[in-house]
Amino acid sequence: MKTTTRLFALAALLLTTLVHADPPSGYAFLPYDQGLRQAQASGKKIFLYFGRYGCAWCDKTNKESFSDAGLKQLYSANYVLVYVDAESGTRLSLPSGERITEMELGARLNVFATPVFLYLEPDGTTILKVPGFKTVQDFRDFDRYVSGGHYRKMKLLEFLAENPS
Amino acid sequence: MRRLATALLGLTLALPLQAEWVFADFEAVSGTPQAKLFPHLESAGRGNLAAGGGQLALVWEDNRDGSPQVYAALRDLGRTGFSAPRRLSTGAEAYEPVVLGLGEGRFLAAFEQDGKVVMRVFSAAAQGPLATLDAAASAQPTLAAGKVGLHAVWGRRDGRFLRLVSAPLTVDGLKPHAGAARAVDTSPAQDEQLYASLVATAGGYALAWEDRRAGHTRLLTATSSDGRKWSEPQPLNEIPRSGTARELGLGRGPGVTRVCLAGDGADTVAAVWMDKRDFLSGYDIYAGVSTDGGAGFGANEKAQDVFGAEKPQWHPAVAVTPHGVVAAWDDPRDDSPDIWLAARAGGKDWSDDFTLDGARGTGSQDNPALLWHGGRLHLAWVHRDEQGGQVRYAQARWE
Repeated sequence: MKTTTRLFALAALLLTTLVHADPPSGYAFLPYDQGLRQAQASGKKIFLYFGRYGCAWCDKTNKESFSDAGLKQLYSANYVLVYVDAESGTRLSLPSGERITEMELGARLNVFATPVFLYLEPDGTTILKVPGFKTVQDFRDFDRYVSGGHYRKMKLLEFLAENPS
Repeated sequence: MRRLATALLGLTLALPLQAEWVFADFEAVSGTPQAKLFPHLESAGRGNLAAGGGQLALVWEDNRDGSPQVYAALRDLGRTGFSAPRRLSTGAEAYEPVVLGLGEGRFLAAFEQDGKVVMRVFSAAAQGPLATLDAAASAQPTLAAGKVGLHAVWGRRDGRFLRLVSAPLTVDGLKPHAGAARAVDTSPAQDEQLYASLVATAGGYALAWEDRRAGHTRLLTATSSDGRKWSEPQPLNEIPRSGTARELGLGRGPGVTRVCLAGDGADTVAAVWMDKRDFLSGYDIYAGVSTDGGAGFGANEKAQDVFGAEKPQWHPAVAVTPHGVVAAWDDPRDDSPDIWLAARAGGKDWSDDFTLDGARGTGSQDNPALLWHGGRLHLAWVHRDEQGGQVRYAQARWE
């Protein structure tokens, strides 16, 4: 009886953990200011994932897209990975020196839904903002656009029309 | 024709004029804007304003001394102009101050300093010593003064999570003292309890907070007659029964955050919060109004009008006045954040959104705090433009 109860409790705990929509497991996501410092030191661009505790579409993105081993390798190689909980009171430092909460960063960047994915220059300047669930192929397309520097010359939709997957 | 015109004029004059909130000119609170000066009006329950003894107190955080610290300014209720900012905090950094009127022009502020909650009494003439509210890792205090005395609720670190605790407070002159702290909810700390908002009622206290123990964020409420033993938590926000994500079995809740309570000191308690049940346009401002001291809040009501529907709303504050409940928030419906308000007068109908000079237009205007006191609605907010940031204040009359 005790074993059954323990198994049930463990299953419930695992289920709870699965729906939390924290950053996808196995990725080296960093807090915002730590990621910004690392990007400035390395010159890498930043992939910023705005999630939310209990966010359904973050959960779907984690399960269906970020579980892809190739995508994990691609994004881990090309970006400093940053995760922000859009409702968190955890504090971070902006490049200006201002200290604000993670939720306030979302308000400043007008993150109106979750998930929202931002691609940033190493200094924190926004290159591209894409809201909502995205497939593995979507993420690969965004990477081609950002890593290839095409955002300097054309809009995303123009790029994808000229350079389909 | 002339008779018709005369009759229409007579009818117009006979109709009662519709009263509305009329704001006076805004006043600067935190001094002249400066580059790299970052004022913030953030706190649990948006409790940055208090009044009593003919004085109004406003508390905020900014970095004028080189690091984030907590400041206060006082204003004679009958005269324009605030005192110079005075620093309340003493540590390396301090955040999220709330303030409470003690009467006779004294105020009690509580805030997070170097990871722990502290408190300090101040008045126009004097400032007491800094006192520890919680020696453990703690944050996000909220204060209320009721018929059974002063009380504080805050988040105390319990393992990985903040867990709400409450304690009675006493003040001897300029020295505050905290009684024994007890958990608001005695069940084990399994996840975060965040950003509580406490108000006094005729029967004791009402409390609301963010609770993550269900695997998503819920807003819960509880009441207490003495601030020591709290009722079983009750859900505040309604969770839609259907929706694409829910039908797919993804996630459990729609996203709610930063609940704020206000009361009339009797049986009316109003709650406002950010709610993403309509997730395509971000957060909306929802409200619940209790007429039984916070025991029940009735059906959720959308406080904002349709003109802000396509934009996300942020940072809601609320006041209960004899002329109805007033909610304030900011949203970027005109491209940059501006302060917006809506009023609920009787029934469940909310007015069209309205704003005021100095709280809209160039730059950004956000993070409002609201207070009803002395026949005036008191509003503070943060203005930011190329010159820097500034805390601003305006008061309104119902006329």
